[in-house]
Amino acid sequence: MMMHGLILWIFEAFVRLTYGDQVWEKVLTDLDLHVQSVEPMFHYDVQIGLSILRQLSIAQGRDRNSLLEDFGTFLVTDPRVERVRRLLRFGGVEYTDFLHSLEDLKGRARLAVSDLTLPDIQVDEVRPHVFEITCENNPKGAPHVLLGALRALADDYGSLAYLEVCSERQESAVISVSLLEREHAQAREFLWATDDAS
Amino acid sequence: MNIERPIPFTCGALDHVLPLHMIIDGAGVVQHAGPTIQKVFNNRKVIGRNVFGLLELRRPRSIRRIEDVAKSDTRRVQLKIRDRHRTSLTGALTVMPDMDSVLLNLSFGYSISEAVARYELTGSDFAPTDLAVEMLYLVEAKSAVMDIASQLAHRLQDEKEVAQTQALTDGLTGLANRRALEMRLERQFLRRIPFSLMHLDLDFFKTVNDTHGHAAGDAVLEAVAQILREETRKEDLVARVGGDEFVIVLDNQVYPSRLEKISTRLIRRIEAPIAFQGRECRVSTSIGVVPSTNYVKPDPVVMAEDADRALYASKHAGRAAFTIANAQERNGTSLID
Repeated sequence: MMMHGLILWIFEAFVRLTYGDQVWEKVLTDLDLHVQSVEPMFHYDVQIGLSILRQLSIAQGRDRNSLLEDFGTFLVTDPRVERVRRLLRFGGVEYTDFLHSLEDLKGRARLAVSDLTLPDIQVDEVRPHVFEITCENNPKGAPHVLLGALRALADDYGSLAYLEVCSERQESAVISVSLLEREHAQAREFLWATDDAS
Repeated sequence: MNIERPIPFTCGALDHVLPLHMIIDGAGVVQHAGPTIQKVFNNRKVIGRNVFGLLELRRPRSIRRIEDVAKSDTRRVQLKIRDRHRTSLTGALTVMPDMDSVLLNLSFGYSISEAVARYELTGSDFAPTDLAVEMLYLVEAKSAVMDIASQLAHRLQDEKEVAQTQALTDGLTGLANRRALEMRLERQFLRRIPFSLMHLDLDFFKTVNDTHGHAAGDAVLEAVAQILREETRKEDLVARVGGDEFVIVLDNQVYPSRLEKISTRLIRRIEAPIAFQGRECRVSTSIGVVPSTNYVKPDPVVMAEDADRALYASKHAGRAAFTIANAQERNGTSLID
C-alpha cells in the first residue's frame, strides 16, 4: 500500500520543528533509508512511514499513538503549518458544524489534490452533544492523528470537549466526542480570506 | 404543475435560501435585500435606494432602466458594486409574479476571495448550496500546493546548478574540465569570433612528484591554476585536461606578437619557485598555440592536433619554450615551424 508524500512530508516538518533536524536525520540514517527528505508530490510505501514512526518512537522513548496525537495537535496549532488549520476550519462556523463536516473531508481533500486519499469518516450525534466519529479505510494510526487534531480544534473554536478513541480495530476506529460547553473560551481568530486576497 | 402559478413565499424564507438577493420595484428602488447584501454594504441604507446607485451594470448594456428587464429576455447580468473596491458580481434576474418587481440574486463568482476579505464574510453568509466555501477551500489548497511546487522548483534549480558546475569543474584546481572545454569549443565555432587555442604541458612536474610527493604535486597544480586564472580574462576559458596538461581558449587574441607576450609571461610566472611546506618546487611549461585565423574553415579536431604539434615542437626545442603555429597554407592544415 502506498501513501501520499504530502502526509509524510508534513510529518517530516513536525519532527524537524518539534524535535530538531538532527532527530529526523538520525531516524533516517538509522533506518538506512537513502533519502534525507521527503518529496511532497511523490508516493511512498506505507511501510516507510510506519518504520519512521517506529524508529522515532524508540529514539524519543514515546509510544507511537501519543506521537501521532502530538502530530495531529501540531497540524492545528503550529503557525508554520497554518494552512492545514485553515483548510479544516473552512468546514464549519462552529465546532459542531465542523464535526459534521468531517464527513466531507475526504471529498474536499480529493477536490484539492486528486491523488490524496483520506479515511472515510462518518459522524453520528448519538445523544445530544455526544458524537461518534467512525473512521474506516485508514492507515494504521490515523485515528490518533485525528484525535490530536480534533482536541486542538475544540480549543481553536473555543469549545470544551472530551475526546477519546473508544474502539480501534483493523482499518476501523471510533472516536467519541462529548461536547461539554460550546462557548467555553474565546475562539482563536479565523479570517475566511486567504492572505493574498485583499 | 404550472410553472407560471404564483406560490406564497416570505422574505425570511428568501433570506435563508438566497442571502445575496434583492427585490427591486418598478421604479428601480430596492424593496428588500438579503442579509449578506446588507453586510456587503456595511449596513449602510440599502432599502429605499435606487439599485443603479448601488450597483453598476456592466453587461448587457441594453438594460438602462428597470423596465428594460421585463422587455429583455436576459437572465444573467454582470455588475460591479459602487464602492471603492468595485467588486464584480454575477446576477440572475427574474420578473416577480406581480409583474412590477424584479428579483435579483447575486454571486461573487471569481471575486469570491477578495469579496470575503473586503466585506469580512464567513461561511454562514452564503447559502448552503452556494459553492463559495468550496471555492475558498480550493483557493487555499491551491495556494498551499503552489507554495510546495515553487519550493520544489527552486530546490531542483539549485541542485541542477550545483550538479552542472560539478560536472564541468576539475575537482582539484577548480578550473574547467575536459567536458567544459569541449562544450566551449562547440560554441566557439558557432560564435565565429577569432580565437586561439593554447596547449600547455608542465615541465619537470614528474620530478616534483617523485622528490616531494603527490601532495607537493597537487600544490603545484593549484598554484599553476591560479597563475593561469590571473593571466587570462574572464571571457577566456582555462581547462585542466590531464595530469599536468592545460588548455586555454583565448577570445579575440590571434596576433602572433600578442600570443608571444602571453606565452612569455606564463612561462616566466610558472618558473617562479612554488613554496610547499617550507620546500621550493620548481617547474616550467611548454606551450603550443594555434590561432583560428590560420584556417579558412577552422575545425576543432584539426586545431587541437595543430596545438598539440606546436606543443611538442616546444618540448623538442628544449622545454620552457613556446611555439605559435604558422599559417603558411590557408587550406585547413597548418605547418609548424
